[in-house]
Amino acid sequence: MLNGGNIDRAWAESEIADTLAPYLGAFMAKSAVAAHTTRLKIEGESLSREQLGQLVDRLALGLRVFVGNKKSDEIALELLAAVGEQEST
Amino acid sequence: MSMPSKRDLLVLFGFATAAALYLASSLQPGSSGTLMFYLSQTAPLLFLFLSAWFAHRNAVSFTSENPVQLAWRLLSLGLAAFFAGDLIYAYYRMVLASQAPLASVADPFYVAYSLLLIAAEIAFLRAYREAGLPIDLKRDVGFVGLAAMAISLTAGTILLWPVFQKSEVGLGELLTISYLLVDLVILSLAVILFRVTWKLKGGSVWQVWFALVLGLLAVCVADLMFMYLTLLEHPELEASSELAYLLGYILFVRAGLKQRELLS
Repeated sequence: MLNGGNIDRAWAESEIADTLAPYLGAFMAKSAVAAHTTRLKIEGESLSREQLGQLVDRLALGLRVFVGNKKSDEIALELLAAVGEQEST
Repeated sequence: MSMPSKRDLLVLFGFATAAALYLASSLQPGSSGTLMFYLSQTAPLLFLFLSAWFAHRNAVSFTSENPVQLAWRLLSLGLAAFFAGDLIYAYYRMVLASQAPLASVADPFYVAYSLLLIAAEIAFLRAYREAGLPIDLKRDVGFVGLAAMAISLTAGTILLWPVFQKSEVGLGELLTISYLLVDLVILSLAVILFRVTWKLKGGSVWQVWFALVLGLLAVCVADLMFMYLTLLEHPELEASSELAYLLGYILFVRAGLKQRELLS
């Protein structure tokens, strides 16, 4: 789903929400991804690596409240892996 | 739907055993002083202690910059204060074989419990908000909170109308009415927490927060029943009130255990 170094936004958001769903539930996972993309002012059909990193960082930061730092770091890696980015941001 | 874990089954077994012991003891006339009586009085204390302990363990497991650490800490302190108050109550029941007076040395602990529980609920709501999850302050907090407060105030006034009509109200009764008002605040905040927690349905975080909120609602209902039976002398409500407390403690234990699972 890479498009000139960028990632298809709808696909990435859907993959991230699916990965978050076992923790936050399907409804909140989708809502959280949508809320953070809005807050980060992410627009358009594609997502740069930098934007993806910011999005994952924001989601992981929020998850700390529910699962603690260690688990939230693990989930951040899961999120990156889900969109084919293996490296930590 | 996932199968219940061994821990879930153990918690359920604990609740069933403690509830059965309490019911057997309360239904059997003259059971005071028997082994069953002591066990039925001690089991809820054990679960209350465990709920405070697991809340404390969770507070320690989160880092100090995490807003939810304060919430778990306040909850653990509140439950510990409740435990201290209940120990004094148990002393009256088990050692002195009498009922504690309406105003007793247990009351400072119950006051501390009520205030700490309110602070914990606010801290959990703040932590939820700081997690960056979408929350509609007007609808989820303002409207739901006001509606819960209005309904519980109306219901409380109707139920307690006979007390308000009494010509003389003693210190103990005044204290109980103040507890009731504080409980309405706890209940309203619990309803707000229920509303925001509902959005997490289906996830592992939901299992922690839902058990926690149900625990808050259960102890609130238990408190209200206890005050009602105390003020209006309805001893037939005692068993229901005690079972609601027990259910609340078990739900706190479950929330604490589920949070530990999520942290590991």
